[in-house]
Amino acid sequence: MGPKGKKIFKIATACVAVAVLIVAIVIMVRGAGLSKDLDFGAGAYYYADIPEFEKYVGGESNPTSIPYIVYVLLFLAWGALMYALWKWIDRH
Amino acid sequence: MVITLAAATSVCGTSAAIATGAAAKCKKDDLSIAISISIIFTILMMVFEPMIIRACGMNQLMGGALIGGTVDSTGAVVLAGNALGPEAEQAAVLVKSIQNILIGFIAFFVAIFFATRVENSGAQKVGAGEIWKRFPKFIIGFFVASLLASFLFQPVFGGDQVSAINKVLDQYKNWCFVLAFTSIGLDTNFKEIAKQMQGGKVLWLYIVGQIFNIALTLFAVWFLLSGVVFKVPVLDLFK
Repeated sequence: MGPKGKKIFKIATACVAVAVLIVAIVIMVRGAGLSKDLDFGAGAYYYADIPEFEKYVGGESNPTSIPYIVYVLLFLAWGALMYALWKWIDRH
Repeated sequence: MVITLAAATSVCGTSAAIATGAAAKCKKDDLSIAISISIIFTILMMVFEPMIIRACGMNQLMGGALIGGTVDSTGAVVLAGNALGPEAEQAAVLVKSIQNILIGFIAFFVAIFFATRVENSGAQKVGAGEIWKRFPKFIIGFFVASLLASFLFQPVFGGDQVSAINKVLDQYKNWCFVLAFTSIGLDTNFKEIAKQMQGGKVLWLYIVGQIFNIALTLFAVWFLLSGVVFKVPVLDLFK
């Protein structure tokens, strides 16, 4: 990248960073995106509980026609495949 | 830095960044940068993504799954899903919960990868002790708590009791979270962070990574939930 390109890159980066910061602060000050039904307190924008989470971990939730173990095995197989792909990308 | 930012983008923001940062032995300032960028963009995505999804006319199931797969932190996923509707919230939480399970696996494999390939020329054999040393131990607590909740507390005590236990633990959890962030803040050196930002390359790394993440998740959501390839699933959790 030439000196002109570097200058444009720096200006674009500064503009994006400042714009993102300002928008984020305005959102937090105005409380935009928050829900009255889901009062998570001060940490609402970065951390919160999942409402009625106990229903998600209950065995009766989300019944499937295939045994759960098949999904677990698929999940692990996908993970193994991605790790192999990662190593391959690293080698090349 | 790259692996920490990648984990924050693709798994669940702060927790994933901390877990992989520990496994890769990243610098504390790199971790601070990754967490800061992730949190700031999460705020934007939490507000604007539901608006864009609604404007595109996407249904709640697909929109919720897209939110669950792309918004970094779990709390923001719940709120963004809630903004679209109850079905979207449920789909978003389900996708995010599945992503959250990945923290342990990713931390484990990042520890192996960095110990055996990045910080080792291959001449030395890396023992299990080194992997264990790198592995973030809080993942074990997370995993054990998940197993206990799924297979012991929920079936034995029922949902109401689990909910009551969680309400008590919430107070401790919130304080621990505040203390964790305060500690990260006390360890943060803005001069070092400015150097680590590498003229803004880190910011663009996150933006490009997140765009790729959104495109890939959008394809997965279309492939699995549009009804074109597979039958559309019915979420009946809150019936």
